[in-house]
Amino acid sequence: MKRLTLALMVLMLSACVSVEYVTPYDPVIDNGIREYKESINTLAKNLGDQAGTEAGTYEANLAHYNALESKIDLLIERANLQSAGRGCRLAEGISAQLAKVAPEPMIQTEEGDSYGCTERLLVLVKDQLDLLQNIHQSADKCNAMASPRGTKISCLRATTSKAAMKITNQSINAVWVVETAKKNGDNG
Amino acid sequence: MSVNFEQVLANILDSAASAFGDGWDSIKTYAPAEFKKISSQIVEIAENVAKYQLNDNEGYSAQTGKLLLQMQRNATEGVLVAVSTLTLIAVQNAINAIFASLRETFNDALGAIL
Repeated sequence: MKRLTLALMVLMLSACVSVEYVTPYDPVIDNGIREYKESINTLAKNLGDQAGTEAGTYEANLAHYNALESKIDLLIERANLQSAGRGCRLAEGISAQLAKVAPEPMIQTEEGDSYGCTERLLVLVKDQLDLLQNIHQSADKCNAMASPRGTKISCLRATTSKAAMKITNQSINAVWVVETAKKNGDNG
Repeated sequence: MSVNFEQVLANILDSAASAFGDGWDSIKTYAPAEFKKISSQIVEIAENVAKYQLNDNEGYSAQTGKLLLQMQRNATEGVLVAVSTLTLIAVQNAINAIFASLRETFNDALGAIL
């Protein structure tokens, strides 16, 4: 009887696969987000330096924004395929705190789970790009360095650029820290 | 009303501790560092909007400040999602390590019996 019980236990343990609460480490997302970070930081630095010139206007940089949007969209699509588009669902307490600072429910989806959270993190990175564009296009204004004097043109002020990058990098690092933890878990 | 770093940080830490409950201990390394950044960035936004009001060549407008705050809210959500996911990864790794060890132990035992 003892042998049978033990044999059954071994069978159960052998059959037992590893638990997986989050999507596995994905080097494409890891490398992609690193490249994205480099590109957006370079663009923002350049824009801050060019504020007040024609080269620093929103219109002159639309192509750069489009390129960044394509990069982040690609990563979102990849994460979406892995999570089957179920969305990100977190513990009640966390969602309740988020609800206090957000006008609409941001994370919770009916059928969501932790598998969808990588996608959510990437969507938040994209939202930061949209807001940066919004600032550049309409909120920040600089005096044009070229004539006519006193004309206001769209720009990204150096101070704005620095602040926006600190915040954007925080969102990017959130993706990064998660992918690194997954990678370390796989290697450990 | 002026925005004070310590007040903002204390508020965030308090909210986070109650939101994460028992899981708070396991995420104490990453989260507080990020919460400090959030607090100082909020204070910085308020200071720059105030500077602009005095001299529009400095800081940035209230409209920009509002959009930056919106960005900060997104970043805060990202930090919270990351913290939650890190907790799950830690749990996942621990469970898998325990099961791997059990599997190894029981395979040995079976070999000795048979």
